[in-house]
Amino acid sequence: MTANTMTPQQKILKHAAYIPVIILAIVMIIPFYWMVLGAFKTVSELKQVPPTLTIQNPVLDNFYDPEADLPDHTDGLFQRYADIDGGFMRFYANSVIVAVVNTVMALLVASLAAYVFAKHRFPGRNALFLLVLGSMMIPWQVTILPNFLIVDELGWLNTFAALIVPALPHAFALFFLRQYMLSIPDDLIDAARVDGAHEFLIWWRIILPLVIPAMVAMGLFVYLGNWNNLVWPLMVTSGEMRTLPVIMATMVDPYSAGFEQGVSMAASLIVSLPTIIIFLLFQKQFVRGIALTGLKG
Amino acid sequence: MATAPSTQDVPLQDTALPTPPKISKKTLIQRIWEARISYFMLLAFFIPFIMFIILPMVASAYLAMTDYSGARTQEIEFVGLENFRELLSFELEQVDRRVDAETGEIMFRCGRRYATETEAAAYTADGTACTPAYVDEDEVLSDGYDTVGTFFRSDHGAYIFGAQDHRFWKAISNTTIYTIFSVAFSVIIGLGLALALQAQSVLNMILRTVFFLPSVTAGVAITVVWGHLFRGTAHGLINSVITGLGREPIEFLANADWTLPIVIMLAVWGGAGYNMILFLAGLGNIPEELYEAATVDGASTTEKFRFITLPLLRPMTLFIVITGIIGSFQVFDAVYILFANNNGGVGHISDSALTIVSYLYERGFTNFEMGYASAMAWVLFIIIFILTFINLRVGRANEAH
Repeated sequence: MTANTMTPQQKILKHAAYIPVIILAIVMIIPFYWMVLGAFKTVSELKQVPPTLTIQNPVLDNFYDPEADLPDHTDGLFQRYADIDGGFMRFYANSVIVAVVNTVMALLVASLAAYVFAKHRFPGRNALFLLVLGSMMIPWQVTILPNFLIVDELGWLNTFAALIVPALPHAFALFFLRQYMLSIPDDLIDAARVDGAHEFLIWWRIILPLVIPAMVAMGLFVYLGNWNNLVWPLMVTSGEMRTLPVIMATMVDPYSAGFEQGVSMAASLIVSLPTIIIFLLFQKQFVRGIALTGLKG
Repeated sequence: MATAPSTQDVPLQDTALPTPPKISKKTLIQRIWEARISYFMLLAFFIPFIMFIILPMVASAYLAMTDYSGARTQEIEFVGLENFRELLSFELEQVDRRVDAETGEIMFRCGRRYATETEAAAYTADGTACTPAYVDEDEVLSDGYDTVGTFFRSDHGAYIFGAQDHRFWKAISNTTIYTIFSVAFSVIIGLGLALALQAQSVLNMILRTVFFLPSVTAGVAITVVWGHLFRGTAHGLINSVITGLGREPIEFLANADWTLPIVIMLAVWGGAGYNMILFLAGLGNIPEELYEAATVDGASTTEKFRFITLPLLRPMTLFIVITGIIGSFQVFDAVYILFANNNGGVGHISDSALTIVSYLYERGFTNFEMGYASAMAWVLFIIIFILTFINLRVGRANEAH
């Protein structure tokens, strides 16, 4: 039914239906609102009961407090972790490096294999592809304990290698990109072969540019998985190699008073900010990626 | 590989007839050699794939049958299926309700004492929790078995479910409850939102973004914020709303009854918008003509929803439910962030936050029982596998109708 065929009653009903939806929408964004508020409140405002619903006096104290020694003041986020070179920003850098390097490398590796599975014919192709598909069914909990032992054996504990390399083979990315590449016409590849292009060159020059939308959609998910990964870094890192999720996980203490709240809200804010920005920039790709992967199921 | 049948039909003759080159004429070795570039290109994926997925899988299956602790110097002892036996062995025993020998009144257990119903009410008023009492309830289970729960309780008796690793069963129970509610709510709300925001308008676009935002950003950072929203009795936003309404504040994070509801709420908050996007994609695939034809036939909106929208959304719903169950059974982050203590314990009060994965983490990495934890990982895999299989079966059966 379209809007112009509706009776006035139906129109009112339709608008009324929005009321619960909008209430729900407000509930959805409360955590974000509370996070921004908490990040810029003073400690004394954070200690108020009941909590203030707006902000009286926005300050940057939770990030850096020049008067940290005074009562009702505390070390800001960037004044913490003094025993670590770079403090909090070190963890931030760790997370960025791991997320970016792993995402880029995982996509390249997966797309190369996806191209071979989509466009090459060779003995054992189906068996290998089934092996990759089958591995998607195995939950990560099965492999994580031996992986810890392998990484330990390699001497990688507490290194970037431990955070990046084991997550390189991304079976779902391979599967997703292969499905996408199946639609690329063979003629295009054959023409390049006739011109004497090497297979790697075909992958780099012809295939990759054509699958950029799929790579972006997949890349967003791989990046998100990296950025939020808690368990693996919790196991294989300590001290200065910790990543943001591990640090954040130590910041909830339900029994402490409002004192630490501001700092942990400040941390939440700058940790989730890149994701929120990326989301708002790439929302279309996210939606399309989800729709595509969903439809494949 | 598949051999082309045509080669068999070619009569064997030594004449120089030009036979077209057939791939199947070549030996397997030749074909592998010709495809060497393909294999070479696969190496970048398959070397780490074998090292960090296949090898660990095999190792995990082996470790699950050992008592390995994770220490390098340990002599690993092969224990066969002992870990699985310890994990899964359970007893279900019927017990009779304890009755007062003289009056025949049913009895309760309050702390260490037995009490009649009226006495029990007095104890409860004093703050001692009372539970129904059964005959020999502590002796009925074999040695080494602990009570997980009682079922089918009546005035005459009950069934006591006991297990060797009662915490594992508690974890399964928690995880199952979490999965049922988080999947059900996020599917229903996701579908509702998709239907409500289906039309293309600016307001709908904004609302879609708002609902979708949590599923993208619902990481560790926002879970921390939720921790603050629920925290304490005074500083938390939610409790200040509750006290504002004139109710007693609730210690959400320190009350076992609230543990699962909070984790479920977080899951629904982070999952409903994602499901909405999937349902919107599903709705977009339903041909408009079907609705038009139904309108011509005089179908009502409800009828169109029941006989067109719902059936055609079924594959998408099946996909969402299956992936939702798989993901929910692996829940860890939220319970760890909100409820783990500083000593590596992840159970929270009376194990109310214990999930399969958090228990696996605790046994494997806090207690260093890697063999046992590996066995748990395989049990989790089997549970997920069976659930997926059942789901697919049910989905197919429904589609056939």
